[in-house]
Amino acid sequence: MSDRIDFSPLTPSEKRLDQLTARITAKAFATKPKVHPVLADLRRFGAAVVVVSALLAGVAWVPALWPSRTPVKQQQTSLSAHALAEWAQSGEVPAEIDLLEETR
Amino acid sequence: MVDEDDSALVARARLGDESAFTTLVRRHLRAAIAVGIAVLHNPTEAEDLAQEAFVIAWQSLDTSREPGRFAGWVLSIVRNRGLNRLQAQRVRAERDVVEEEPMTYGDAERVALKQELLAALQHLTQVQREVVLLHDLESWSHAEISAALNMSEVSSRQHLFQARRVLRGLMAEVPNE
Repeated sequence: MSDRIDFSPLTPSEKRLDQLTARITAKAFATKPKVHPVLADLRRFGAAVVVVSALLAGVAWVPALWPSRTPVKQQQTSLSAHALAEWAQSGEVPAEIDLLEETR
Repeated sequence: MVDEDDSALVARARLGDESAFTTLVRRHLRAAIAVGIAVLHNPTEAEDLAQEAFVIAWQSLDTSREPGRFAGWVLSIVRNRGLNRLQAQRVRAERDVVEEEPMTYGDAERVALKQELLAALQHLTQVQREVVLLHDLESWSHAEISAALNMSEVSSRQHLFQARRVLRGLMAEVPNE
């Protein structure tokens, strides 16, 4: 003999359960449109893509925090900038050769 | 054919697979109604509550962090919504539930027993009601109950023992399987 208490009078019949299931799903599916698979994938992987992008951006940015180990190149860059600034101020176009000399 | 587990069904339902969600509903509807009865003491209201809970579950499937615990999640929705209803003492007058099953002559005894069971259940705590209904009505194991209701298996067994003792004391004749 089982110790179970017979609660079967409280349970809906199988037919009733089928009716309720149909009613629930009809109501549910009417409230939320089907998600397009592509959108679902975007939703699912979107967060991961953002995290990976942030990490890559961080990796690219971190080296800029340290002073450059190539002072010569930096100096060349500043010379080029200086030449261009003079050009802008004076309105005189420097000789092409000069500019190339400066930037070389 | 092997039944798909809940996680796989939830994954498919999230992608918009309506048949997967229908399977989930059919699989857990009885348990949801059982918990609804435990909270509201009214099978008709419990059906309504279960419907509401599944619709909410569908709408927020994406927020379900543990798809494998779908049953526990839905039961918690049933419980919380049911308690809200009780607290607000607001029983919906108009329900869009289909009519109750028509009673036939052979149902008279069953209806009387139903009323007796419902009256006896009111003497239990809510947790005892949930445990005894899930175990004896839905044939859930203590492991399943403990997972769904967030309690230890020992607690589940204790609640079941206490519930059965109270119910047997209250009911003059309790039919067994």
